[in-house]
Parts: sequence; structure tokens; C-alpha cells
Amino acid sequence: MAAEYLCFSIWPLSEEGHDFLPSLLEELPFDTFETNDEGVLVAYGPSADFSQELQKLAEEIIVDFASKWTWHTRDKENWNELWEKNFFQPLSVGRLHIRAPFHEPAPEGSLEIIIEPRMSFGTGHHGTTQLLCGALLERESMLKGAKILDMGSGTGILAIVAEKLGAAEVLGIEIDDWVVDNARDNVRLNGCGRTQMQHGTAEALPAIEEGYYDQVLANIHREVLLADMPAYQRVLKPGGLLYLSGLNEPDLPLIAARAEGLGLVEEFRGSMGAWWALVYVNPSA
Amino acid sequence: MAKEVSGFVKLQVKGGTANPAPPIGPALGAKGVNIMDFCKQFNARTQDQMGKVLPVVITVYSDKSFDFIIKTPPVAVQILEATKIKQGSAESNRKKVGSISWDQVRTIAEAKMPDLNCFTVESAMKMVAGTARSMGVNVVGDSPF
Repeated sequence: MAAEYLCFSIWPLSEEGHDFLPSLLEELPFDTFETNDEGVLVAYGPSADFSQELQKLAEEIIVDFASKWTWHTRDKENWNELWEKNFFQPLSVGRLHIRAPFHEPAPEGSLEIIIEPRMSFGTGHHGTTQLLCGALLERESMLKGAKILDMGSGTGILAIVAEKLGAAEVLGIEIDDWVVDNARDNVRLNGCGRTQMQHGTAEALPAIEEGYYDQVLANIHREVLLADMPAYQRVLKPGGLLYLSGLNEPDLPLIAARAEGLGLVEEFRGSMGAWWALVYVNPSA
Repeated sequence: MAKEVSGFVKLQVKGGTANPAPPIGPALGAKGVNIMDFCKQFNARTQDQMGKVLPVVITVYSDKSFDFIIKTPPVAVQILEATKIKQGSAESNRKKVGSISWDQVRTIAEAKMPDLNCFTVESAMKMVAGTARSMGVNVVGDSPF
């Protein structure tokens, strides 16, 4: 299998060259640029998007700015492992005890959630995740036997919490394929037999029956939430709950205006550090 | 007491699209930072500039916490936007690909002031004009200098 990332290292460069070349190279499938400690500019892009012609074009673009360049490739690996193995400490949110597989089992009386993150979002440490864990705990009685949709499911943490609090059927949808694999492993680690994970986005929602879910969760960010709120509402039953997270304070008026336009009624708003979460009720028909 | 800095990471990332692919993953991961936290924060803060290449300098502390500064788009990128040309000239001395007015140079210089080590708008304008010329973009109109 071909390596996943193509790396184009360019040097020596003036300060203007470091500023300027990314703006030229981004016309090609390069998406991110790094100035490393040696002052070398490295452009990165998906290998699959590059032909030999495009590589030659990249060299023609930079030849007047730098005299040396090399190409190399990199495979995907878990670059977050150092943090995950050394700095991921177990934590409690209410009676939830969130830990990695290599930590000690949860204390008696707590509800154990085991998360092996493998470079996926959702270890429970982030305010956006904790806010929704707390919101689910506070609405536990409404989760019993409920059908739950979790958009941008990451490690699967919220889907797993929903099932452990009594949900009858949970679907997680996640845009990154390696994250979906990770979430499926976490679902198994927690023995969650009623939770499914699916690779995709809100584009998958039109295939779902209108009003199918009792509750929809989405911890993503403002632009995605604003765009997809109508699709979430369509699959939400009348009286169902929509949980939104991944928001900063300046995002709140925009989300509130969108919700009002859709007839959603705010039931809760809460914050942790710089992060905010909201819960809306879908009006009854 | 101020936290001890363990290193800096300098990247240019498209607004709203940070993910753990290289270079973000390897550069931050090697310093023990939780990559996913950075991506979440960066994407939330830059969603108004979705897809625009933004310079970001990340400061990593010895306790593995981090903060970051998002700078305004590079001068060269702002010149391309102001002149509506797709890219600069590979032969800037011989082949001019567009032109920019001194008013536009001033606008870019003012926007860039917080990031530049310049004391006056005038010196920032000279830097912007120099970058424009190096890209094959003529600076037109009456020079203020």
C-alpha cells in the first residue's frame, strides 16, 4: 500500500519565502505547512492526490525561491500515543468513571466507561465532552429505552455513555474512517451491544426515517452545527432533545437564532472554561 | 509563576480543517501534547476563515499544556487576494503578473501590524511593497515615500 502522506521539504528560504511559498503551493493538493527547527519549510498533502506531473509542477513553483528540495513519504501512525499513554489520567464526571484500558478498574458504585482514544477526539478530558456527559446524566430517566443519534462521535464516548445509561439503540456517525474503527473497538471494550458506528456525515441522515430518534447529540463546531441543525431536527421526534456542543461564547447568538428559526426551544445552556453546550427541545407537532 | 516553555511549533494550517495528519500530529505528538485538543480549539477559533491558510505558532509548556497564536494570513496571501491574481510570478524581475495600489498596500500593512516587528505603518508598508515586487506585482500610483 502506498504511503499516506507526501512531504516536500524546501530550503534554504528567506522569511518571505516561508510566508509566500505556502500560498503558491496550496494551489496543489498540499494542505498544511511546517517550518521545522532547522528552518526547512515542509509541505504536506495526501499521497493519493499527487501525480508525477504535480510533483514536477511543485518543483517548478519553488525553483526560484530555494535551491534544495527533497520528497519523502510518511505512513499514518498514532502520533498522540505519547499523551494517551502518559498523560491520559482517569477522571470522573458525576458517577461516570472514564479511564483507559491500562488504568485500574473503576471504584465500586461508579459507572465505568473505558476509552482507548487512538488519535480520536473524546477522552472525556475536554470541556465539550464533559458538558454533554453531565447533560446526559441529568436526563438519565429520559434515556431509558430511547433511540439516540450521536453525530461526530469520535471515540464513541457519548454513544457508550448513552447506552450505559439505558438507551435501547444508539448510532454514532463519524467523518474520519480511522476514528470509526477506534470507536467500534471502544464499543466492544464496553460490551455495548446496542450501539452501532457508521462512517459518514449528516449526508447520511436523509436515509433515516423522519422523527426516528428520541435524542440527537452533536459535539462538533459552529459551522457544521449551523449547517446540519435542520437535518438533525428532521430525524428527531416531536418533543425530542437536541444536544449541541463544541461552541465558544461568540457562537451562541448564531446558534440561538438558527434554533429559533427552526422552532427549537432552549432547555439548557452551560459552560466549562471557554466551551459551551446547549440542549433544545423539538416542539411537539 | 510563569510556566516553563518546552518548545514552539510553527505551522500554516487551513482554517477550520486541522486534523492529526502530518505535520500537526507528529509535531505536537512528539512534544506530548494532546493533538485532538489542539485541533478542536484551532478549528473552533478559525471557522470564520475556513480553508484559508493561516500561520499559527504553538507554545508547548513543560506540563504538556499549550497555547497558540493565530496570525493574520501571510502578506503574500493578502497581496494575491487584493490583486485577484492566482499566484505570483516565478520570474518576478522580468514578468509582472499584476498590480496593487499604495492604498491596498497600506490596508494590508495595517492588518499585518500586530504580527510585524515594525514600529510604524510606513515601515510595514515598505515591507509589503517589497514582498509585492518579489512576487512580480507592480506597486502603482504615487509613492508616499
